[in-house]
Amino acid sequence: MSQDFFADLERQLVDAATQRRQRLRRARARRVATVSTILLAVLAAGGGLAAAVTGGGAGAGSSTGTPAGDGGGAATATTPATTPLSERTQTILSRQTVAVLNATTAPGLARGVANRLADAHVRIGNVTNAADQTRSTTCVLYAPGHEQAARRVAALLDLRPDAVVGPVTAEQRVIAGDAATVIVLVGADQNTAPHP
Amino acid sequence: MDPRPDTALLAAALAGDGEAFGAFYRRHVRRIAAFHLARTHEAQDAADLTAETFAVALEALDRFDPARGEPVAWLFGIARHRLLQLRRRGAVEDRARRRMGLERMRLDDAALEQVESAASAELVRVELREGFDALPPEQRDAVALRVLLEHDYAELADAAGVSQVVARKRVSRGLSALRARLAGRTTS
Repeated sequence: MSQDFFADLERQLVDAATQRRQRLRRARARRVATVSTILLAVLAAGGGLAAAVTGGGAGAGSSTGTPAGDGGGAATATTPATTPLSERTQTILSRQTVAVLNATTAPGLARGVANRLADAHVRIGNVTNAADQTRSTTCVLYAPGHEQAARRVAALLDLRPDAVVGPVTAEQRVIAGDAATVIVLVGADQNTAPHP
Repeated sequence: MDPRPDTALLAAALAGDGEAFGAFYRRHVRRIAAFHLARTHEAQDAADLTAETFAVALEALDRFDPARGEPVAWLFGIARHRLLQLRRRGAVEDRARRRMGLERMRLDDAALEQVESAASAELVRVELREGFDALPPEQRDAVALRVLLEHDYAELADAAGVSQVVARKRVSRGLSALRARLAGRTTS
């Protein structure tokens, strides 16, 4: 059977179009990985690695990294690099308090998500159970005016953009605490795969 | 053939309907290949550019804005841009193809010939269409009646209210204009 360019290309395009979102997301992830590798290389070369990736200590609260001159550089370099965030994202996130509510009956899910956010220097508020514990998909809610932040939190957790579902209800607000500007309702989908 | 207009196909494709993008592709791929072949004179380059053009279109689906023009115009804009890139760097881009997970197709001789003949046929078709549209109206009508609808000269003369001699003259002038246009194309 000989090659048929037009038919072969059509088949490939139909497949790609069917999986367009996934492929775009994968391509973006690859790009981020490349960029962070380059960034790490540049920083390491400039000797600024320790300064840039600090906050490696246990204190998740303070996000002001002190330029660690204590030789911790080597240790920091081996920890998996979290996706580098843009300055604007960091600024927006630094003003948030994120409550993480477990909307499943599986214990510890909310804690795991909270730890991942804390690793990215996001301030964590209440971590507790949600009123409804039957959610299958994780979603993100926000207090009025904090939608942008909610989107960035969703992105940090590798959630689809439509995971950001809307403003918080009064009931959720009570559980999440007044300080919370963004609320993550953790669903069962966080139970399967840990962070890649 | 999918009867939906291009804008509907693109909207469906954006919503994840792969077959809709396939229909859009089938409708335009030969014109895009002809566009690239006429400018590169290389079937492999034309094939690569065609694949890259559609990969970029697929990737940029969400940036297509029907308010700013027809999908075909948008697609040709992408095609032109790919061609420019080829001229600038001397190689066909494959970034969109890689991002969209398309493999680069190395074509054998038979496949290259297929691309070439399909694209050339399309060029002739476009050229004829444009040449036909460019004819003076009385010649265009005469050619359409005689060649496409196979009326005889008496009917032509009747319809146009002229003598049969004049009707014949119009047909022959129209056809020779088309012939000259095609000849100009193939020798240039």
